[in-house]
Amino acid sequence: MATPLFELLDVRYEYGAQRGLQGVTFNVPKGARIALLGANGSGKSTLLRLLDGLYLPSAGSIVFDGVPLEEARMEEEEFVFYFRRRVALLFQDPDVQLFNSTVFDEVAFGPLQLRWPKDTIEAKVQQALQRLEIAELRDRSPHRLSGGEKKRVALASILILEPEVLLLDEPTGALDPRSQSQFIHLLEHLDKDKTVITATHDLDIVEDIADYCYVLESGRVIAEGEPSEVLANVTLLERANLIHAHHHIHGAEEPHYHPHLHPPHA
Amino acid sequence: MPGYRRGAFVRSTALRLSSLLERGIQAEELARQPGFLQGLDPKAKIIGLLSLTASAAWTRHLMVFAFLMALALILAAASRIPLKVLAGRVWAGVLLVTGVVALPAVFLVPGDILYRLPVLHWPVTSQGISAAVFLIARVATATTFSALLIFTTPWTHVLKGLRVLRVPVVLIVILSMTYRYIVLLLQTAYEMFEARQSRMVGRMDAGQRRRMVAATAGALLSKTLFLSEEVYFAMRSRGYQGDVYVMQEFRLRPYDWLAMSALTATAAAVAWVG
Amino acid sequence: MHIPDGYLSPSTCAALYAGAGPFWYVALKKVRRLLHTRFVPLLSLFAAFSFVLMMFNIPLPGGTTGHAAGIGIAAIVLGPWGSILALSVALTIQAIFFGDGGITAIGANCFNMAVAGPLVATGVYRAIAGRAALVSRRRVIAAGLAGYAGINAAAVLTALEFGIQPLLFHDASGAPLYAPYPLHIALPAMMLGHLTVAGFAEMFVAAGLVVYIQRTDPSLLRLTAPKASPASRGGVIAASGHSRRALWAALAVLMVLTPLGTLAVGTAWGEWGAAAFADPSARQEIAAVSRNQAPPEIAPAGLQRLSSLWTAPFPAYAPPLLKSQSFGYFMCSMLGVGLVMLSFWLLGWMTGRLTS
Repeated sequence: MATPLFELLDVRYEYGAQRGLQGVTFNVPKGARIALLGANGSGKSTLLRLLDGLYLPSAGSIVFDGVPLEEARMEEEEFVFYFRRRVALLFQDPDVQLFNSTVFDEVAFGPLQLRWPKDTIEAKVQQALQRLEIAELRDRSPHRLSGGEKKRVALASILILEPEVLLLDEPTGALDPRSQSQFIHLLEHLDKDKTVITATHDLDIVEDIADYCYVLESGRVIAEGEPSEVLANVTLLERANLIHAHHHIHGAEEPHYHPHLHPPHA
Repeated sequence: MPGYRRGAFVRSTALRLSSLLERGIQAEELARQPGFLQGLDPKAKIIGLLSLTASAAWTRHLMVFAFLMALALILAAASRIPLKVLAGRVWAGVLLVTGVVALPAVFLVPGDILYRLPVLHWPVTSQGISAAVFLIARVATATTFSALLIFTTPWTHVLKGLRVLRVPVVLIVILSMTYRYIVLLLQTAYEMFEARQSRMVGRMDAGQRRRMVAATAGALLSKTLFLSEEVYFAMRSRGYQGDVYVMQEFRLRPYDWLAMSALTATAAAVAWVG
Repeated sequence: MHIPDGYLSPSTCAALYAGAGPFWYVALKKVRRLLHTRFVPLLSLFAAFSFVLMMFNIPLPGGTTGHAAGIGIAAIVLGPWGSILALSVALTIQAIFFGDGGITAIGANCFNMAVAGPLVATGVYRAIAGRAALVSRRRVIAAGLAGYAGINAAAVLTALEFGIQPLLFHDASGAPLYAPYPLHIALPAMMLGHLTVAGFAEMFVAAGLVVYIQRTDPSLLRLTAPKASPASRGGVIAASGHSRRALWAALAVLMVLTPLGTLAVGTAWGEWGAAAFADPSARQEIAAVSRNQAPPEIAPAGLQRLSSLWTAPFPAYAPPLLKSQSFGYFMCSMLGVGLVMLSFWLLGWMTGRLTS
């Protein structure tokens, strides 16, 4: 592997009393597909926001493609244009991400802030909407979209920037099973050279979206490995609060997690 | 203390919230169907209808009110706004509120006494009657034109049209974001009230009701402030750095110019008549 | 009270747009500097919150319910300038999207409820809360009073705007063209409802939300109280013992002044009472201001009964025994004050229950 895209060294982050990070170190190579596994409050969303430069580490460092993400850096207009174009975050709650009054305005927001020429934006938005099969929603208000549609619009609003790195926060959260599998299908068919880092507690999707996993608990990485290894380690998953202990007691089932016993994705 | 039946109090707020949501959705649907006003460029429409609203505030002749009202009805028909909607959502409210406000003017405005009420001996003055009629006619006419604007223009178009009136971009962004989250917070508040209603057993006394409203409002405030932080991050994440950039849209076609000129000319004529 | 289209003359509307304009301008400048980039989502969300809050039924003593405009809480959380913008945005959306309040009257409604209201509320809040700790009960009382004062300032302005319409705008016969009631009717009619129902609703909302914020995240109160003493809660309550007595005294003075002020403003604007109709010199004066239109010799009896149309809690505010109209207003205002006192007692009791 060439130089890693992200280098995290002993990253700490504190806010309030809980949900901080207490020393996280790992590298993200270019083109990697990584899952951050952890229960609510384990620090995985915080980690994504640090990677997106929205939060800055209280201690330790995050280096993106050779440039450390620091406060002064994030205020430089030139760097912001460069960084925002390359790294994009899909928020867990689409209601947070969809703050414009129509789908068109939403998808055009990023390009407009990055000062793309206005005459190209119209066509780009159209392309992005078509790619996600939501062209007919162009003039719809966000409150008139279903949960699945909102997720697609949110994804369109970041894919239009053609970022190299996609940070996905609980991409399947709050979706019905059908929209979930459709959305995973979309994610699986992104360009192969994109780096995708997904934070989730949904074990069903891990093998579809990641080649490598980090398991977080209380702001620390407690394990890492390939999805098959991690998913087979019941003790680990219990410790990380990703499955419940009474999984064992119930029925004759082996104390083992079977992702594919659940309805397979499209 | 008058007794509130189980949940009646909570239900009344929940109903208000949901009927407001429904009204919003109804207006959006009317605005999206084909029709004369719906087809106009929002700039032309906003300027035209606002000047007619202003002319209704200007005039001093009952005949002019009649003329303006007739014009409003023609515009409504051409835009397929059902009379039922205007009557239910506009005129009923005008009569209920302004009617009650205007009625005492019949007795209270000093002037030439036409008649005295038996027993009470309240004087009915001709000036009083004119005052009441003026107020009701004026409010009804002006409100009808405003309602036509609301019913035929999707909110997002109103926003874009406001730019013509030189409203700063940042204010328009705030207006647009406010509207977007009003709907979300209305839904949230509605769900909070619904949830409380389902948990309620027996009567609540006034103090309990007040505490419940305070707690709901507080929870909503927390959600509001939390959302505002989150939205800020979502904006930053897509390159927002404190200045908002927006698309310039809507160019006036000759047809729009024509319609706008006709509407504003009518308004000007009304102003000239007085 | 949202003024609809048609109640105010176009020139009044224009004047009030012009009056609100500079405040909007300064508010935009100040707030932008204060909160830098964060202010767009903060103001938007808060405006949306105010809008939704206006829909809440607030239960009041006596079994009535009222609606609050959120003036007090906006001023406390966002500061005066931020609240001017947030409330203006909420009112504008009510007018242009939900038809609540007239489009021509947006300037007037904003001037009353989004400019004057929050400025008065800020003044009252700062004066009363002083440097009390963020979690002190004194802030709760200050918030309640700020809301009460803010909405009533807005109501006074609204009444003044209504009240000058018949003086300035009438046709050749003297028939008023817009809001038909002169000040001596408009003012008590507006104030009666606001000194009681709307004022209480506003007060409960502001005080209740401050209690809530104190329990969840007191730092939200920091913006408008940068000098609040850092004392812990226990220390504050001990310290506020003697200050509370001063507070109640100030409150009593404020309440006695309110009806007097109402009267003073009323007469200053050319009020004439029922008794004046019988007095020849007063009649001449009335005729002069009414463009030589002779007033009737007998006062319209309905004058005295008018307020019953507006004021749900009272069967009639001016009993026929009280021939003096001014005395009637005064009594009515005092009655309002009595209710205010009662509500403060309730407020204290409520916050006691909430904070314990």
